[in-house]
Amino acid sequence: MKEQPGKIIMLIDDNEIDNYINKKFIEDKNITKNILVKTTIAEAINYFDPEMEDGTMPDLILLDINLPALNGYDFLKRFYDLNLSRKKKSCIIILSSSDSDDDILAMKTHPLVRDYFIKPLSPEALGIIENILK
Amino acid sequence: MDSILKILILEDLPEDAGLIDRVLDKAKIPFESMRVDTRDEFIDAIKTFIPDVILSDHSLPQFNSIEALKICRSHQLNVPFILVTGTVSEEFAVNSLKEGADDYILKGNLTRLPSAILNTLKQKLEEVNRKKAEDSLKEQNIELIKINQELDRFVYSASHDLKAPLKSVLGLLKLAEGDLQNESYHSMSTYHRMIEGSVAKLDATIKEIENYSRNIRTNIIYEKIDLRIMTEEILQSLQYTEGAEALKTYLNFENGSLLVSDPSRIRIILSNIISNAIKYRDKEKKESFLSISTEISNTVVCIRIEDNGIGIEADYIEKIYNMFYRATEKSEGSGLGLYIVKETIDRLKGSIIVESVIKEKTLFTIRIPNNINEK
Repeated sequence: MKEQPGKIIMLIDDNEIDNYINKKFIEDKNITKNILVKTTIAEAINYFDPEMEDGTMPDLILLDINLPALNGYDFLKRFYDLNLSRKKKSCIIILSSSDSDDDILAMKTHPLVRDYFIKPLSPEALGIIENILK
Repeated sequence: MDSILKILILEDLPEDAGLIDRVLDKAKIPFESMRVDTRDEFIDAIKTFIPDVILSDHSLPQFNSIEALKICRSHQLNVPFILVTGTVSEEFAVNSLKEGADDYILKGNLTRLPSAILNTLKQKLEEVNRKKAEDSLKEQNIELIKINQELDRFVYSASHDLKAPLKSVLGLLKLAEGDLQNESYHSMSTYHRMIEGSVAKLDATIKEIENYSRNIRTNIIYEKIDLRIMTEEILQSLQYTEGAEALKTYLNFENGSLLVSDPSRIRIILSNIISNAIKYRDKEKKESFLSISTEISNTVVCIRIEDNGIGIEADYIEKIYNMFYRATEKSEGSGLGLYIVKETIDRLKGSIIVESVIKEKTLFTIRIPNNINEK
């Protein structure tokens, strides 16, 4: 068992069922128990503040694209503009049900985005997440 | 030419103008002419006489044909402009044609004038028709580009809304498979409930897409409608929707319930707005209500639908009718509902106004024509 309770994963998705599924996938694989769920971009952005401590910064953000009001692209813009004093980089991976070439290309070439997974999380995707958090 | 041609003659010599009149009479062209020889008279005649043809001498005491051409152009007057001059050098003639004159006739050869007039008129008519065809082609092109963009967006969003629940179901099935291998059964009923919810969502999206395409493709069918009965039917069909039992409804059809319109479209409009009132009720309020009232005259039907739900934020209110726009983060819909409502009302040549105060109320006022003469 390679349990790493210290690592933080943030799930950003408006679909509660998918959040349930992804949380369970990650927990069942013993990747971490420290999972934050944000169902709106506003809520996710609010989590970050300049004074925040290193230990509360997510190590990985799994970001959906298609959310109401603000979407995944808006999150990336706002996240980029955030003035975080602690420069620890959170790794951002897209987890979307969109397999449109436009989305994949736009996201894969985005400087903040590490990878692009199509839902549901596959064992390979979970392996990549595990490696990143090692 | 069956109507009378109005010919403006720019000529300082009345005898020469008279000569022109005689040649046209002889050619049996029905016409009336007006002679002017100054700049002011010319401008005035363009505005009041409104000529079909302009015949211009080249040099006049205080004016010339090139200037006259420019005046025509600046007044957006696109009628045949024919030079009728004494002697003229070839160079001058070419220059005038370049400036926009349609033809030139020597005064010594006036017999060519009638056919020159008819030919240039024909050319102008063809030009106008060609321009019209080009313009309408351009317009159609713009329209097609718009439709194509909308279609692209539609396919993108529709495929997302169709795929998302399917991917959820796939994920849940994978979880269940893993649990079964570990002989762990306690989550099964949760998975089951979630799969059911996802399938219901998929079903709702498909129904919305059907409604959307039906509105676009099918013709309007006018029938007598009893709004009271239709509203009660809609409420009954929505009674098992989550939250329907928490919503109190007040129906007021005292000022009219009967109208003539397209029943399937009216049903789409009402059921979308009513189901929104159920979905977006304010769960923090003690009592959620929906009130529907009408005012019906022989020409106009006005339906007011008000609820005390979560309301719509002022920043988003203009966008609520956009295709696939979801104004609230609490939205579970596809973002097609109000778009379909707006499109359907447009097809019925009606209007919809929304007023909303966040956490207080939302009021939709719908006006559609009462087509009693169609039945």
